[in-house]
Amino acid sequence: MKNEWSAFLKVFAGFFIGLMLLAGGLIFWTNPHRNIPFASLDRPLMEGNQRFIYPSVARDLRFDSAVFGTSSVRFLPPGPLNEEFGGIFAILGMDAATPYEQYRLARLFHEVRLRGDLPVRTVIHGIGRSWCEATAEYDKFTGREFPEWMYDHNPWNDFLYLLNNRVLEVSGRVAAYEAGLRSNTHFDPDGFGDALPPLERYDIKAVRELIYGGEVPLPVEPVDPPVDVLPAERASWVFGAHELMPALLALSPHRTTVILMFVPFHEYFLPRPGSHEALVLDECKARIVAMAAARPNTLVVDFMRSSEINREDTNYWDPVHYGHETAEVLVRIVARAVRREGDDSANVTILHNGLVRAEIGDKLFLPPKGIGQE
Amino acid sequence: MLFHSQLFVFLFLPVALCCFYAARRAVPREYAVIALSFVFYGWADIRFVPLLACSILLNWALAFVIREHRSMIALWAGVVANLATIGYFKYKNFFLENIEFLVGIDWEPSPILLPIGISFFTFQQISYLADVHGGRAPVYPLRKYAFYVSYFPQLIAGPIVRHNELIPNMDLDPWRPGVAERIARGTVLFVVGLVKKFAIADQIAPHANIVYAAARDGAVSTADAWTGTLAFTIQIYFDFSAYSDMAIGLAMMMGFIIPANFDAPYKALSIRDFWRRWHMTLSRFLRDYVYIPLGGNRFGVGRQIAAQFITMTLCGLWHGAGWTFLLWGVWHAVGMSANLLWSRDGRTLQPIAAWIVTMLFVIGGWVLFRAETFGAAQTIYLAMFGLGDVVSHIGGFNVWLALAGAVIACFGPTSQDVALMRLRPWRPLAAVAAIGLFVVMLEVGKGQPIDFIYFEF
Repeated sequence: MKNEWSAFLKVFAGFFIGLMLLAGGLIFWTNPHRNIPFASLDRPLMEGNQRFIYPSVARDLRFDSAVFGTSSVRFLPPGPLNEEFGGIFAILGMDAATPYEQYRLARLFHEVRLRGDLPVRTVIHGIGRSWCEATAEYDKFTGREFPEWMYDHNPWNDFLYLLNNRVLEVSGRVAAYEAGLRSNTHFDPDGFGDALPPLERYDIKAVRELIYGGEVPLPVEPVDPPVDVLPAERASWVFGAHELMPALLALSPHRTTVILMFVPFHEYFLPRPGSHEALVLDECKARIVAMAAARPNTLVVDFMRSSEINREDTNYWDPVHYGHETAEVLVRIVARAVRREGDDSANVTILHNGLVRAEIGDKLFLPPKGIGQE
Repeated sequence: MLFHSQLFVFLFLPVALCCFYAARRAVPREYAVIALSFVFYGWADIRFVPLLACSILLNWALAFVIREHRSMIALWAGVVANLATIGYFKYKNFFLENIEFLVGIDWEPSPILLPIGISFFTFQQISYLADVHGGRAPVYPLRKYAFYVSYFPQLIAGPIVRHNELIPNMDLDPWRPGVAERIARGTVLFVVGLVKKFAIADQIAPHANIVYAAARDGAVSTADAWTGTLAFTIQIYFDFSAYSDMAIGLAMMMGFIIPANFDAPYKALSIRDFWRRWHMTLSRFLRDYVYIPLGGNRFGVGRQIAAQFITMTLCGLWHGAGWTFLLWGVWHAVGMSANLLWSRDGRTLQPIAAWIVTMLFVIGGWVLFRAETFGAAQTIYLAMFGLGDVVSHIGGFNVWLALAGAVIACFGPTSQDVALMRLRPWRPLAAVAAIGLFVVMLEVGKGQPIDFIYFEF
């Protein structure tokens, strides 16, 4: 009996240690979040949660430019961005990212380049509604898990979070991809992930249902008479998230072209003209412009207003997310604004242009070969 | 530190077992366990380590005085000191809130962090002082006493172990015959506890949480009130008994047998039977140190009922500083008294009817236990009786899981019975246990906050 219990214990220990080694080995080999020291970084991005996978994209020194924000900028296409701005862009717009999460990712992106004495060429920050909520308190995180430990410069503390079902599941996907059993990655190496359905499935009725709550388009009716508030009241509004904006702008070296882009929500989704909410939004924009003006080489473009783009329902999949063609149009418009070419006033308002002309289009930052040149 | 963490399973436990079994003599072994227990206790918040250390020193010193002088004053000083400690950390705000309510003073409660496990280790030490005074316990060397109080498997959430259930066994050679069997049985019981916690308690808990949050904020439907309360009924049993399984399993791995805390309480056929099966070490404590000293059943029915009310009210307050907990204790006192009056003339119920009545009473009590406010409890009660004023459907109630939990709780053997009595050294079972531990370790590795309900007490 004594030997039987010893054998029982040996089988238990053998199975447990064996299973753990198997799981640990698979995770190390696949390195699904590309954060394990000494493991291969050449792995496909099979993690669906951007908060877990974008730190590795931000650390990828092949990129000298980046887009930050929410899902309202995640479809900006890297090809046209690289072409227009002359850098190699990482697309790091995270779904429903709070201003803090956006700042945290941008900080990581800049810090690793600062440590490597590498330039940051162009940075686009998509400014959505979360930056303009007139409350002193703001949510640092959403209900989605945000792994702060991935955003520091200590890869060893990541080991505390590596051995679990979630990582193992992504490891399985990476292994399946490497074995040729899967062909699609969640994100491209530059962080771009095409989450939009194929165009064949585009249904304008469904889109209008999302925008207007019905199949029939509704007009945007201004508030009449328009609301007016005293300057003192405007001055009393507090936008809690704005405390992060100076820090966000200060991340980029002075030579970096920083573009703050108020994102183009559908017109019907914007505050009604003349409403109190519209005044709050205007005040928010004004304050952000004031902060941007304190930094050289900064451009503020405003798509968050009525325009030819956001009046057209077919440009959208829902009130917040525009389609690929529209995304490319936006890139071209911003690029023209950077180059101060033409009049795009029907689509965009330049709220502030502090760009240093001599730096635009210079060839200081040549893209490395092999990426962004397809 | 938590049992259900990778740090504990991958590092602390192997180190603890190695230290324990490597020490050939009892003294270094005991010092090692004390040191490890303090590391275990201080891991989450080191500020409470001095509290635990001072509590041990003070009680040991008082035990010495009590033995030397048969001092009733020293005994009461110890009881008061222990109750004052727990009173400050656990009941101060509750007490002052009620004073504020009565006299109308505007008072801001001060945030007091509750030292984890304080309800357990203070009660344990009160019982020891009482036993020393009653001549039922010697004064042990400080080392053994510190081991007894701080012993990490039972420190945080019990079972409430008596000195004579642990200390005399400290001198036993851990390598005595049967060591592999003890480690194997303890390991299996530990894994069973982990699986119960993660596969049942934590899976069914969200529904109860949502329903009771909805009750606090407004109203719930009849169906939700019932499913939410049934979910909590299953959750609390599998949650707390899982922790006890783990604690007993860990002690068994070191060759100690500490008392069982649960004996299939949902099989109880009366409310008195329920308390003989639920949180047995607390019931035993209350019986021996409160109920019996108050007279127990020796002075007639009236005195017995009064003793039951005082005992169960204290039981309710022990669980939490709130009127809902207090009323929960009173609820059970009413049940026990009714049970006493009903059965004293030899009246009985058919077993099935007795079980249904008992379970309905227990479930009804859990409403008070779980609800954060009387308002929320009232909302649930009204909805359970079809008097809710809304038709809502919260959803998320896993009927099959609830059914599985209910069947295990009502018809299955206890974990201790399975792991400590019925288990045979069948190797495929070892593989199954290993897979169970592996799966749970991967689950806890996600880092989601997971606590046991009884950590709050």
